[in-house]
Amino acid sequence: MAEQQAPEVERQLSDKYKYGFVTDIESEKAAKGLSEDTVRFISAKKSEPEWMLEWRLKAFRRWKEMEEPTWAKVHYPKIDFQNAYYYSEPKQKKKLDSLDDVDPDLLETYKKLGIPLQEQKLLANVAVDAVFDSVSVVTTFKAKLAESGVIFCPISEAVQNHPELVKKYLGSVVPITDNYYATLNSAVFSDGSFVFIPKGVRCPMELSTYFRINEAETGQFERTLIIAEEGSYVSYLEGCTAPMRSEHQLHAAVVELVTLDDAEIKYSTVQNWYPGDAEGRGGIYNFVTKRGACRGARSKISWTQVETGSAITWKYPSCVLMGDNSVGEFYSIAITNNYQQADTGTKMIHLGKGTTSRVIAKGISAGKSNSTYRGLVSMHPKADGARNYTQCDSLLIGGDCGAHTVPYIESRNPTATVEHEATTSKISEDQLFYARARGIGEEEAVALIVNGFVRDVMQQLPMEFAVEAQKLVSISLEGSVG
Amino acid sequence: MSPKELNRAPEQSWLDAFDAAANDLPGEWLADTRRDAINVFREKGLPQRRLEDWKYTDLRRVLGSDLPLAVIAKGEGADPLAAIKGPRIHLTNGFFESADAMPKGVEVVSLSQALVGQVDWVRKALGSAPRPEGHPMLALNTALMRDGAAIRIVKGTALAEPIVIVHEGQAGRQLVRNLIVMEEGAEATIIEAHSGSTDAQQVQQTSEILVGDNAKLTHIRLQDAGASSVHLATDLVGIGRDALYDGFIVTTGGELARQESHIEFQGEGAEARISGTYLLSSKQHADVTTRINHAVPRCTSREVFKGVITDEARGVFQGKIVVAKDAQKTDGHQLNKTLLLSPKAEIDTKPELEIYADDVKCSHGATTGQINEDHLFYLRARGIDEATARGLLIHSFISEVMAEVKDDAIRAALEAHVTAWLASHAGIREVAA
Amino acid sequence: MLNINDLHVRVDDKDIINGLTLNIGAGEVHAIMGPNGSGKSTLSYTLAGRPGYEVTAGSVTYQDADLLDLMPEERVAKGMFLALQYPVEIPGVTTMMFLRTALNAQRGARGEEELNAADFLRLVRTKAKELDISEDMLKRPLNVGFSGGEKKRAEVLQMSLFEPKMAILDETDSGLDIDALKVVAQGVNRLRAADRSFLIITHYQRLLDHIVPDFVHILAGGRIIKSGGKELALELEAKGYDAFVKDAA
Repeated sequence: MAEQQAPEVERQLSDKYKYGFVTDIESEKAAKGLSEDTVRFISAKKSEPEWMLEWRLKAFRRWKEMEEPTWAKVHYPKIDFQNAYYYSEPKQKKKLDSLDDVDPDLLETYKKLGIPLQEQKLLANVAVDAVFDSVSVVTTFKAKLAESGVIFCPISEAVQNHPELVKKYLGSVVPITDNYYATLNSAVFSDGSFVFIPKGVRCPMELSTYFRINEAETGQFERTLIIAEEGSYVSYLEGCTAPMRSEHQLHAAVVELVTLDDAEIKYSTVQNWYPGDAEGRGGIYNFVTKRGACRGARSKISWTQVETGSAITWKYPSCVLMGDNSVGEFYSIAITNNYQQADTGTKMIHLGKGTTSRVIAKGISAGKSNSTYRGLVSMHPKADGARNYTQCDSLLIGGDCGAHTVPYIESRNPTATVEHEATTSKISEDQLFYARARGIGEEEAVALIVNGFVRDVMQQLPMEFAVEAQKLVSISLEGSVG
Repeated sequence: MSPKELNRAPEQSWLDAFDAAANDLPGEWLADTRRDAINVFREKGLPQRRLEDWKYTDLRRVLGSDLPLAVIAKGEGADPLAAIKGPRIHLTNGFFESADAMPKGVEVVSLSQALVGQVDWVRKALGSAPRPEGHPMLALNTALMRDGAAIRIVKGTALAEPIVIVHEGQAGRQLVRNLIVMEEGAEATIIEAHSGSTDAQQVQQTSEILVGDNAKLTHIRLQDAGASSVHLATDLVGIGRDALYDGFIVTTGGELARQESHIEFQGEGAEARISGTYLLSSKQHADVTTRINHAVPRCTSREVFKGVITDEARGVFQGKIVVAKDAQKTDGHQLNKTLLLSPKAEIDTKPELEIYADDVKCSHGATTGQINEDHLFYLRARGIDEATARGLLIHSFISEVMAEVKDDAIRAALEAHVTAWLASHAGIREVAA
Repeated sequence: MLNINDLHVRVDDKDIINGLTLNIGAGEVHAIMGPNGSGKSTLSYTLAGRPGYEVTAGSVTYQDADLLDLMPEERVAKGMFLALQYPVEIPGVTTMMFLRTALNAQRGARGEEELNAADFLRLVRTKAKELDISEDMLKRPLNVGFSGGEKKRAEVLQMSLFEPKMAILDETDSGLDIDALKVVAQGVNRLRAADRSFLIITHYQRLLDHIVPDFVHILAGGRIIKSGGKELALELEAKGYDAFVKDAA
C-alpha cells in the first residue's frame, strides 16, 4: 500500500501545487537500503542479461569509493542513502501490451496530471512514455513510430530487444565513473526512455516522457538514452511531478544524447517536481546529469529547460561538440521561490572545428530562495573558429533571496571566440507601476513582466509545452510579492 | 583526501623557515599572532587546484622548492617608472632601504622598525583591513612578514605628487607587508613599481589599505618582476563612507604571478575602481583575482581588465562581486576581455556575481578571442598593411583600459611600458597616437 | 466626478504640490498648464497612485470614494486612466498580450466576464485602425522600440479600449509632430462623452487647438494660480508663464 501523507503536509495541501496528490496503488518494492543485493534485485526484476548486471555492479563498486560533491551552491542535510527505497513498481496484472491492461488507477493518475494516455484522446502528434516510480507503465504510439523505424520504448525493454544499441551507446556520453549521482544512477537505474531514430528519418511526432514519483521514501533513478543517426531529427519532451510529502526524495537521473552527422535532437524539459512547502519542508532533490554528444559533423543538440520545481536542483545539461561545425544550445528558465535552491547551467565543450554554442539563461529568485547559474565554456586547441555566446540574466523579487552567476570560460584556441554577458536586477518599479496603472493586480503584473523576461527561452519550447510552462511561471511566483 | 593527509613536503620548507626565523622576526608583541597564522597555514597547506579559488593556479608546484629567505641588500637603482615625478620609497629584496623626504601630512616608516618601536598608528592599523577567512597565503605572510613600508596620509591632506614605492627584488623569499592609511578626507596617489633580477625569487606581498571616510586613494601597480619570480601581491582594501579607491594594475612580470584584490565597502556612498591589463608571453602564468564585497548600501564598483597573451602563456581572471543582504542600491559592473595571439596561449576566465539584495544593478561581461577580423579587413581595405593594422587594433584594445588611469603623466609612463612590451613580445611596432 | 481638495504631495522629502484644489464634473474637459517643475507630473502620478508619492494633507474624492485609499489597479477598475508622458517599455510582453491582460483584469475587478480571444481581437483591431496602429505594432513587445509618436498612440489606444470615466493625459503632446498630434487629438475627441471627464496636462497651448477644453488652469509652485475658460490658454501663450507667476506672487 502506498503510504499516507504525513498529516502536517495534508494540512498544507492547497491548489498551488496541483500535482501533489498520491495515487493509492499497491506497489512492490526492493528492500530498503542500498547494497549489491539491491543492484542484483533490480537487475533480476528486469530479467537483465549478465552484461547489464556486471555494468551496474561496476558502477556500484565505484560509487562506494566516491564522495558526495560539495561545490554547488546548495545546502542540505546529509542524505542517508540507506534510508530509501531504490525500486518500486506499481503491481500490475502482467506485462502490458495494450492500454486496456493498464491499471485504471494509473490511467486516472495521468489524467489528473493532464496527460491522457488513451491514444484516441492524445494530442495527435505526441507519443508518451509514462514512467511511474521505477517502471514505465505504458508507451503510446509505439506501432505507428515503428513504421518509420523509430524505436521508442522503456529502456528496460531496449536492454532486452536492442542489446547491441544499448551496449554501444549506454554510458558512452556519461561514463559510469562520471560523477557521484551519475554513478549511483548507473548502479540502480530502474527505467526511463530509449529512443532510436534511424538514418535519414525525421521523427513523425514529438516524443515525450512523463515522470511521476508516487511512492514515499523512494528515489527515482531513470535513465534516458536517445540516439539520432545520420540526418535524423527528433524533438523530445519530458515532464515531471511528484506528490507533496514532508520528507525529501531523491531524483538522480541520467540522460545521454548522441547525434551523428547532420542529426538533430531537441530536448525540452518542464521540471515541476514538488518544490517543498512555504517553510521549506519536503520537496525533491533533483540531482541530474544530462549530456549530449554531437559526434557527427553539422549535428545539433538543443536543450531547453523550464525549472520551477524541486527543493534543490543540481543539473547542467551539456553538449560535447566533437563533430566539426556541430551546434550546441542551452535555453533555461529557473524559477525559485520560498526555500528552493537551484544550481543549474550548462557545459559547452568545443572540440571540433567551427563548432558553435549559444546559452541563454534566465533566473528568477523570490522568497528566501537561491538561484545560481553555473556554466562552463571550454575551447579546446583544435576548435578552430569556434564560437560561443552566453547571456544570463537574473531577476530578484524581494530582499531575502539570492541570485548568483558563476561562469567558467576556458579558451586554448586564439581563433575561438567567447562572449559572455550577465546582468542582475530587480523587477523595475516603473514597469510594475505601469502595469498596475492599467488595472493589472500586483501579483499578475509580476507574472506578466517575468513572462516577458523569459520570453526568449519560452519561444524555444514546443507549443504544447509553452502554454503550460507560462502558467507554471505564474503559479511558481505566487506569494512572492506583497 | 583532507589537507591533513596530503603529502606535507611542499609546505615543509616554509614551516622550517618559520621555525628557524621565529625568534628574529620583528615585533615581540606579534609572536602569538604569527604562531596562530603559521598554524592556519599548516592546517590549510599551500593552495592547490582542488580549492575553487585556486582552480587555475597551483602554488604547490612553484612554492614547494627550497629557497632561502631573502637577505638585506643594497638596491641597484631600478626605477621602471622614473618618468613619474614624486618622492620615492625604496624596498629592496623586501626590506625598507630608504625614503625621500615626504611632504607635510605624510608619515613613512619602515614596518620592521615600527613593529619594534612604538608607532601607535601602525599597531592600530596592522591587521585591521578586511580579509578573507582562512587564506593560507595571507596566513603565511602574517607569520613571516619581515618588513615593508607603512604610509600614513594625515586627515585632510591632499598630495600634489604621487608617492612611488620602488620594489627591487634580487633573490630569495621576500615576505613584505605594507600599510597604507588614508585618514579622513585625505587624497593621494601611491604608485608601486616592481622589478627585479632574473634570479629565483618568491615575493609575497600583502598590503593593508585603509581608505577613511571621504578619502581618495589612487593606487597604481606596475608588476614587472624578474623572469624567474613567483610574485604574489595581495591587497586588502577597506573603503569608508563616500570614499574612493581607484586601483590600476599592469602585469607583465614574473614566471607565475597572482594579483589578489579584496575590496570591502565599510561605509555607504563609496566607490571602488579596479582595473588593469596583463600582458603575457613565453610560459608566463598570471592570475588576477578580485573580490569586491558590497557589504553596505549605495556603493558603486567598476572593474575592467584586459589582457594580451602570446606564446605559451596563460592568463587567469577571477572576478567576484558579492552584494550582501540589505546592500541595496548597489551598482557593480565588471568587464574582462582577452586577446589570444598564439595557438598555445590560454585564458581562463571566471567572472562571478553573488547577490543577496534585490535593489541592485550588477553586470559582468567577458570575451576571449582574437582581433576582430572585420575590423582588420576594414583597415586593410583602407590601405593599411596587415601587420600595422594588427598593431593598431591591439593598441586600441589596450588603450581602452589605459583610459581608466586619469592622470596624464602616469598614464603616459604606463603606456610607454605597454608599448615597449608589445614591440618586444608581440612584434608590434609603435603606432603613432 | 473628481474632487481634489487642498492637496499636498511630497516626493523624496520635497514638497511638490502645495494646496491644490480642483473639481472636475462629469463630461468636462479640464486642462492644466504649467511650466517645468510646477508639479504637473506629480499631480498625475499622485492621482494614479504611484508608490513614493506621499500625500501629506488634503483629500481626493473620485465618484464618492476616497481615491487615495485605492490601489493603482483598483483606481483603474473604477474607470480612472492615466496616459503617461513616458510610457514604460516591457520587454518580452507583446502589446496584444498586455492589452488583453489589462482589459480582462479590469473587467474581472468589476465582476464582468472576460472577453474571449476572438472578441478581443476584433475590438483591438477596430480601435487600432482608428489610431493608425498597425498589426505589426501590436505584435511587438509593449513600447519597446516604439517611436515617440507610436508610444503616445499606443497610450490613446489603451484609453479607447478601457473606456475610462476619468482620463488623465500627462503631456501626451510632448515629442509629437503635428500629424501625430492630430491623430492623437482625434482619438481623444472621439471619446468625449457626457459621462466621461478629461484632465489634460500640458506645457504648451498647441494641443488645446485640437482638444478644446472647457476649463483651463495654470499650475505654478504646486498650486493653481489662475483658472478660466479656453481663452486663458491663448492668453498664456501670448504673455508667457512669467507674467502669471508674478501676478500670483
